[in-house]
Amino acid sequence: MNSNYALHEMLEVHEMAAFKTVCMTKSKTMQSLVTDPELLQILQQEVKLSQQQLQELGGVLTKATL
Amino acid sequence: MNPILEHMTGLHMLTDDVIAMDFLMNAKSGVRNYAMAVTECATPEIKQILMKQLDEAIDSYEKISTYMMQHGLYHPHHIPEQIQLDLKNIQTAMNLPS
Repeated sequence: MNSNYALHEMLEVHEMAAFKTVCMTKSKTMQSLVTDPELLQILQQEVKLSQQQLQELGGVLTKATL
Repeated sequence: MNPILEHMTGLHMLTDDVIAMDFLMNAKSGVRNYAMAVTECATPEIKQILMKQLDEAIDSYEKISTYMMQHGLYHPHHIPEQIQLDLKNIQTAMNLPS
């Protein structure tokens, strides 16, 4: 697939994907350490959302032709 | 986790407060990073994805900051109180065994 994405755009998406990946890993790890159920729920929601967002960012990165 | 193991690894210091604060800082960074990324993108398709995720990042920030305000972990409307909390957190972090 030939996309017209600019290199600097791909680098921005790469930066966001890296950031989100670390955040999600952390949120997943923290789930086993947290005691308050309300905070746990917020973390779980965040993991679910991050999974969706990373899929979207991954989609963009896949289409990139560098 | 096993309390003895937690104590040995120092993880017992990793309270909900610290986890919430860490999450808050990440949420704030996320919003800023997305906003910057949006302004660097020209392709509508990418811009749209980033703008949607920026909105979602703002919602995440809203959730965690509201939680922290309700639990007295964050006082954005009362600076003196926030500073007292900051000083207490600094001391707690300083006293951690290294």
